[in-house]
Amino acid sequence: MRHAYIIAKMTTVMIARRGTLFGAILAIVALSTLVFNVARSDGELLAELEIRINYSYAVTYSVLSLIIISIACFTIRSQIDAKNMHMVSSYPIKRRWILFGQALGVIFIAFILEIVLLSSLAANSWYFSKAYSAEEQELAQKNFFETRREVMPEYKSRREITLAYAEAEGIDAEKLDGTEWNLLFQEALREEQLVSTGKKRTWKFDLTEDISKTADLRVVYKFQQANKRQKVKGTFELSSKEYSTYFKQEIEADQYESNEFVIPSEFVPPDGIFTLTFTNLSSQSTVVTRSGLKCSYQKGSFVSNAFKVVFAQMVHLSVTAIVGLCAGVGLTFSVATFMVMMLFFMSIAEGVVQVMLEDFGFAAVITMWDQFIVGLMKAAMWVTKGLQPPSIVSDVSQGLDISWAYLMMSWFPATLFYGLVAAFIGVRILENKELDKIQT
Amino acid sequence: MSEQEAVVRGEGVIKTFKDFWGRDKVKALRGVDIVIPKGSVFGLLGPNGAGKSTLIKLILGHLYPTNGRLSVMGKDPRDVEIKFKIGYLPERSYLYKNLTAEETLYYFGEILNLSKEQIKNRSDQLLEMVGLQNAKKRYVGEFSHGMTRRMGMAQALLNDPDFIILDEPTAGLDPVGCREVKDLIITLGKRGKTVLLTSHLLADVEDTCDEIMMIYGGTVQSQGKIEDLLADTDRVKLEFPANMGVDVNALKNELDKKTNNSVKVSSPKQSLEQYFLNIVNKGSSSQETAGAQQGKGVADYLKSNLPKDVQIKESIQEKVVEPEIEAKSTTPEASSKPEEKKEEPVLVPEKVPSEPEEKKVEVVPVEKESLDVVKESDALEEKAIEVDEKPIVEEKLDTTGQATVDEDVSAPIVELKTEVSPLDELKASKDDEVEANEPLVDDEDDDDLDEGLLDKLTL
Repeated sequence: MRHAYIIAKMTTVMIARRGTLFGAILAIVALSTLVFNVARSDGELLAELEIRINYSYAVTYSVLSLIIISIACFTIRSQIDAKNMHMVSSYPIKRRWILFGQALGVIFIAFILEIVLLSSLAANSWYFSKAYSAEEQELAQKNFFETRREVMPEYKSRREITLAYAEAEGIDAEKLDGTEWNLLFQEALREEQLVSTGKKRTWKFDLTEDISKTADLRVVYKFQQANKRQKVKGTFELSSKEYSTYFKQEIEADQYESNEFVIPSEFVPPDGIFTLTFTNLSSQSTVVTRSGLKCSYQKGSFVSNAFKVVFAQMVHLSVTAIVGLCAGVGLTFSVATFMVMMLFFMSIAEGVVQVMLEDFGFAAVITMWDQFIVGLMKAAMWVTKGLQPPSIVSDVSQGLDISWAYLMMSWFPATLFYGLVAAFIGVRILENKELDKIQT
Repeated sequence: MSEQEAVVRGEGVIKTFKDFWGRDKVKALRGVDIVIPKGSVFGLLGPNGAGKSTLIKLILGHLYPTNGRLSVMGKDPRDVEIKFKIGYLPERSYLYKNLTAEETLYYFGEILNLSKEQIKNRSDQLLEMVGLQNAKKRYVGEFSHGMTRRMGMAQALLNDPDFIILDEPTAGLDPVGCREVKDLIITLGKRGKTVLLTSHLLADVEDTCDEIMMIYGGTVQSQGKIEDLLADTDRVKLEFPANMGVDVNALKNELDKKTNNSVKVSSPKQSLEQYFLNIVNKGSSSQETAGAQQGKGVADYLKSNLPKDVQIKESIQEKVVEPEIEAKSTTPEASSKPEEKKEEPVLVPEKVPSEPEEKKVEVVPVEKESLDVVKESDALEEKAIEVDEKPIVEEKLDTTGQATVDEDVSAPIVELKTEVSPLDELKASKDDEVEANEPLVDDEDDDDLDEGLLDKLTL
């Protein structure tokens, strides 16, 4: 371990003295500032900050990941090509410690760059906010310093909605061709989202925790019905199966705008499971889309969020560095860099692939071939899963509490597994690698 | 020889480089057997591409044998523990360009688990030894080729290794550096260290190595003790100071009669290397340089534990001698003026006599170290121009053996050249044909030298 520390020190010094660190810092500050100032929203400070931080953070963090990939590949490859590795290998040090030490050095560089990125975002936000009123600044500060947790209602997949609708209507879905199936889906979706006059629509929530004594529940909703921009009247009712809590809120809201009301904490059942039912009392129907209703409550703090951000992104950057180093051990610099960057791009494109997967799985009858394709794509996504950055940038920009449950249950295991496998492969390759080619 | 006595032992070592598809591409080594005895200075010779570097990389564990067995200090070359005892100077600088000389040594010292104090002490001594004390704060990437070689040498010796692998250690070094490196190798050899040396400069190998192995085409062509391999028993060389009043021409004539006119007379010449060293030594006392300085001698910690009967004479600092560029005459008259004795930069055991005045003439051609009668070998740098009447100029580079201790520009060399080995002939016929030879082989019995001009050889 001591040897790894020595190598890590050396790696850091070498990266710094080559000017790579300075260049990377400059690039990150410049890019984050540029994107922050280019992004635009509706002019309100809170919305402006949300959009600007979201774009600037996402773009710059992606570039930061690419920089780390390049540095990692170059660090190990340049030492092999310049035969510094030969020199070090003639000393009493195991090759695995050389690799581990270099990984530590690159991770330390990544940490510096991560801090630079967060500092740059904070500085840009502070400078941008100065032009706004004290009230807006206070609101923005409250939004970011008093973080919230957001909970979406349970959703069924498109196929489930369509099949359920077909069953309710007595339609044999398996006999429908593609066009008929799509039409049936449109009907089912309309049925699910449309709330006609006097009708009710119920959503089920599970907070997974007890907030009945700690935090009020904020309900945010948005109505939208094309060509009918009148206000919507109605009621929201909270009820629980297990508890006798009941809360009712009358509303009159504009369409195509986010509206909200607050449910005091004492009305929220201790198990966190409840339903919200909307009754349309307007003279016209309205639509509540799948993302049109969500609840949130105060949870966490700016400090805990900052800690989670740094932790999650450092884990991601560490795995990225390890994958880069391992690719650099076995491949030339250009090939290694290209390969790891491709994996990274594939991982951040997971959202697109998920849509494709859903399309493949969206049919009344799923054939073997479709299942094979879906399986193949899922496997491909698994290969890149570990390089996927944690989905926390939008949470940060909206002042939402980053979920430990998401980090530790969904994202972290895959990333950790990926890093361990990559490290194992890299060590095996380096320990068995002959450090020279023909010299005749 | 047991595993303990052999630092490196290889049997049937084969190394074949393969292409991407696993097909044989180059057979670098084809069944090499090698034994490097502990405490020897072992030279590995061969033309470019012979397989020297491949063999070294196998020994270091950088490459793995395709077939055969190879052990270093009785263990697998990839064993990390043995590397605590190995120092390696690669053929080119593989050091970190963005580290200073001082930082480089500190870095490697840390890997070697040396304490900070040890690292500092050794670094200072080593940088002084290799003449980089004034450049210790400079980045290695800014060094000239020669300076990086010196730096490489310093790092190779940081752990005071038992087994030192030097891949062309004098390549790119100036003559001062070359001499220092050779001194160092000899010092290390005297300390019982094992040195594996490769060099294209055969004189370096001849000067420093006990044993050599020649490789060509991946196979061993020749191997053995250097004096055995280079022995030339067909010739005899007499060497004595020119100011002893000996009539060389008469002596030559006398010997010609005995040897069928195959005697040639020449005078030893100061080597260009020694001449250069003297000039630089003189200049360094009055002028500074931004580059590598003259080394300050072997680092103290590398001289510790020397055998008691061995003292180190470091060539460069030993003595400043005015260049003897005028000393060309081989006649006794021209050289009658007493000359300053020049010493070669060598390690001289204390027991070895070094005063030329006390030397005795002897005919012991198999003794390379003989001060008075030097058996001329196949030394590649040694050339002699045969001249009958005019002075003969002989160029002879120094060696690290004692034979060079009394290299004297005024000392003529009488070389006996016969079809048959003159030594054998002299020995065979000493009772009847060359009676005077008998006293020549007996240092203690100079008074018996009584025939002809040979009696004047008694010094």
